[in-house]
Amino acid sequence: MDEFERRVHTMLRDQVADLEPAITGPGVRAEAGRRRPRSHIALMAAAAAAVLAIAILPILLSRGHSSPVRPGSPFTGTSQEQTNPPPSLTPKPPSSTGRTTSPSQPRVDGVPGGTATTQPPLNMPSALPTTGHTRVSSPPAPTSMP
Amino acid sequence: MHMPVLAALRTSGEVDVAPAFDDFVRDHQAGLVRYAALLSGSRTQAEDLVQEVLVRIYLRWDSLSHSSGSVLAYVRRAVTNEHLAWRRRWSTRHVHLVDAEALQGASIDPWVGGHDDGLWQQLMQLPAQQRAAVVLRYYEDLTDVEIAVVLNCRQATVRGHVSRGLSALRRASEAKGSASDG
Repeated sequence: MDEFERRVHTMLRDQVADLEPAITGPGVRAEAGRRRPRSHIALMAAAAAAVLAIAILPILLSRGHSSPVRPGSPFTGTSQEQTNPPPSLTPKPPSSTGRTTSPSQPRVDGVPGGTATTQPPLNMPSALPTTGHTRVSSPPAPTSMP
Repeated sequence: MHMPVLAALRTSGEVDVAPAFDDFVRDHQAGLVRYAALLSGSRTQAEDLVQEVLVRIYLRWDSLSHSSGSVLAYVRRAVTNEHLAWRRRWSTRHVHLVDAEALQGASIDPWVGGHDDGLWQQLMQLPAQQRAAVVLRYYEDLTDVEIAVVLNCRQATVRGHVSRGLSALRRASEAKGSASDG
């Protein structure tokens, strides 16, 4: 230990030499006794949460069973899977021109294309352009096609 | 005390644990608070730190007192960890209501009384791990192995903390000495 290390040692000893704390064993035990109800409160909150979960779970399960399931559908899980089948399972309507819809072209419901939507056009049952006019009053589709 | 109540307390360990715990607190609380004060730089915070740790220790005292390891070493490590966790929570527990520049040079718990106040202030500027290693080495006189247990790191890391901390203190002290000479 060199001179500087001895200086550090002396400084640390001097700094706390007059420190006389007043922590006692009975005081700590009393503080511990005061804190015990907190654990009881946390335990009761956890039990209440568990009871609530048990009460809600049958309701959620019964709602899942009450939703209709299409016959022949491979999906028997959640209601979201049953109501929104993937587009590949829906029969693709025949196109009069044989062309597929490009993202730059407006769709038949008047919504401009190019952005992903939650309902793909193929899922719409009345979206077949068989009569040449649309069912909604949105701006008409441009006639000039590339 | 009613006999069934006394028997129940003896069975739960309340009666047997309390005297041993009180003896431990009486023997070591001063040293623990001084160690915590050197870590935190605040006497009031040191007492809070040790009180917090001792409360948690008391709730597990029955199992700790029957363990093979040193209870004091365990408690010292708990105080160190509590100090480091306390520093991490410091910014979320304190709201500054005045301009930070107004607090420049002031501390929440002013501590004057040491003979080498300049070196003490430089010690407070060290990172927490380095300061803990320096205090454990030069105040508690622990070895590298013992410091590694307290700080939960390798001995090489301990040597690095002590070396870097001491070098920083030495540089700051030399810079301050040369500035005062000039």
